Amino acid sequence: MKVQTRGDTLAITGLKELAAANSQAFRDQVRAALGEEQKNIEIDLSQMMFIDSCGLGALISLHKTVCGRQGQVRLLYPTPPVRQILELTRMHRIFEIDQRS
Amino acid sequence: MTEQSLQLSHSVALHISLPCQLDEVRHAASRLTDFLREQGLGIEEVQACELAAVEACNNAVQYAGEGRGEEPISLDVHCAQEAIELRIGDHTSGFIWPDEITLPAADKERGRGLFLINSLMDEIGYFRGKEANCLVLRKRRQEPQKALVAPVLQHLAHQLRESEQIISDMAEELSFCYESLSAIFRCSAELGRTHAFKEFSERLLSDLAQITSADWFILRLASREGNKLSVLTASEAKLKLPALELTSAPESLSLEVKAALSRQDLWFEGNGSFEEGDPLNALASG
Repeated sequence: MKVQTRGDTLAITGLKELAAANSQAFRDQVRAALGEEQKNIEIDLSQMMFIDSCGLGALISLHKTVCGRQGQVRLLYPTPPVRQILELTRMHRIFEIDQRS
Repeated sequence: MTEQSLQLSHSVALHISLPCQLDEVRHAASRLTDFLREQGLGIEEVQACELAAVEACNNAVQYAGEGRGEEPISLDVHCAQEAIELRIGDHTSGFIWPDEITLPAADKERGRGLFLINSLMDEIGYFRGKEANCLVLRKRRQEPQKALVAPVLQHLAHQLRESEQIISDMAEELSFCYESLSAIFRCSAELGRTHAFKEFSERLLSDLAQITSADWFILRLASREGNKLSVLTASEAKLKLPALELTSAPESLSLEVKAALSRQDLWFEGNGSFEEGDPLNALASG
């Protein structure tokens, strides 16, 4: 997983899965990387093939963190299995989701 | 983690025993998905079973009671033609399965596991015991074997078409060879009855030219001394060319001499362009 800052956005790429075993560490790592200038988080999901309820919980936790900064979490290019779970759990009502054309 | 694969009369089964740790749940899930793919399940069916099993196993790990963390979790998979059944055995204190399972509030970080299991599976049974519990999940297979059979059929159909084309080409070539052979046998029989070798050669080569759709032919014979190639017969008057010296000099430009000296077939372009100085350039003239 790579974490980069782009102005007021923290960009995360290379995430392969977000599950119970790694969701807490993921959340902590992203929070630690969030500087004072960053209010948005962008997460590239194009390589993620699995997410479970703990992974969703980590995303919601980050969403609450950036909401306190008037920012948002954007989920980019989710793969079909991840997109299905996001829609099933109505996460598309909470996060901005960019689909790849 | 230990596993056993057992072939039953009507279903194929897989048993996995995994330590009560979250890391082990993903390893078990990986083995589960491999098994389900081997049974011909479609990708969506595999993903649904994987997530449901993971959620159930995660719960078994996270809610393991005091001193129960050492006891393994069991994951049994039965794959039949109609449905897949997952049985997750744990040693938690258990819980009362809710009558209604809904999504928690949007800002809640937990509580979506049962909702996912309930959404992804068609039937659920939860059996709570004194020191052990069993969660049974069943998913009906939508189109058994079809996901596996369709690409196989497609591949076989393609192979069949290729084989038919090869057989057709071979039959055509065989027919051509048969005709050539017939012509040779006919001419050979005639040779036994005639002393007119030149006329015989002309007839043989005319027949072969017709069979092979050749544009022209030249027949040269080497002299007894082996130092000259002279034209015996040709399809056109302008091809009754002067004799060629058989020389091994590398500067020899004649295609016919090269072929005679090397005793090999030499192929050339059908447009009749030969190297400068080659007598066969007479074909291009007039």
